[in-house]
Amino acid sequence: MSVQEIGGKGKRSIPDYPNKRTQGHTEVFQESLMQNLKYQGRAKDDREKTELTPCRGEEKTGVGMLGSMAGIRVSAVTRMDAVQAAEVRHMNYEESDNIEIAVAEGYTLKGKWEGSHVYVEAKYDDGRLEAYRVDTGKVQEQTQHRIEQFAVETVEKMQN
Amino acid sequence: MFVLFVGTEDYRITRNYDGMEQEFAREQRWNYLVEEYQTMLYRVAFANMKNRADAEDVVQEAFLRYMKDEKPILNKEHEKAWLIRTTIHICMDILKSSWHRKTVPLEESLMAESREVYLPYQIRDDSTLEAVLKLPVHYRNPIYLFYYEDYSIHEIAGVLNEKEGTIKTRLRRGREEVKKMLIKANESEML
Repeated sequence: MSVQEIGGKGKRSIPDYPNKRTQGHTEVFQESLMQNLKYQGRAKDDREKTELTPCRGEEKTGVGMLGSMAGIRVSAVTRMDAVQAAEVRHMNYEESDNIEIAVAEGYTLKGKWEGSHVYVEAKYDDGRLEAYRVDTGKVQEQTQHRIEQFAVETVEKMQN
Repeated sequence: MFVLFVGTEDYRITRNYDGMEQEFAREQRWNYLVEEYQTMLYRVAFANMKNRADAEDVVQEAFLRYMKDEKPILNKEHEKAWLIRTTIHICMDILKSSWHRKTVPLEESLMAESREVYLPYQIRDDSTLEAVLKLPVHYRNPIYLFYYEDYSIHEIAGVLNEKEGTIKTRLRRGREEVKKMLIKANESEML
């Protein structure tokens, strides 16, 4: 018995798996893969549409989650121009010019108008404490950004 | 400068942080406590008792206990935490008493009186505060202190003698309960 014959014998003795994919199966798999890729692409597009997009000329530098209400996530996008991260000062309610208590969303916002900008402190129920410095002059009128909206409200409240 | 009280029968020796000692009359001590903490403690008591008369009684009792207590108070934060903790304990004692358990609070009185709670800031949404006041006590106090008194999770854990993880869990679960109540209230309004 030659070496090839021994090998051949061994190969034949391996039983076929009952669910082993044949040539037809490969085509089905490729089709399924293409469908999945298409679906994932669509889902990504949908996510991008629902996320806040930076304004023209602005750079997206980070995303801070502002909790959720009835399954809808509210995202705060820190922008290079209007909103900048700041050092947390542990400002209390009495010192603040504007306060938002959002129990159902899991956060509080405190704002203080400081002439050229608004200092905003956000406290989340997971223990995070973040601070922002918002230049309200650079905030767009129809902004959907909660921190920006809050800063604008703070200025309006102090001016009225 | 903050003054530290050390209890005696009729008056307390007050000591500032430089170690200097001076005497304060009972009236002055009382005025200091009332001015500094009355409103805040009243709010905490109201969040638990849900009526004005009981909340006022609780605050008076907390002040009396503070003045009788002889354990040293380390600093202002310690003093504040001590008073809040004592206020909550008094509320719990009253709520657990057999007399109180036999009485049924009127929903209308809670709605009407919750608007009387004086907060040093404007709140946009009364319905959320009302929902918070209806929460079970183990959710109500952490939520109230965190959102309406601006306490940190670390401070609440100290006041309530719980772990920070426990407070975080209660805040999360309490928030879910509030959300459910608000959704339910909105649905019933729409019908």
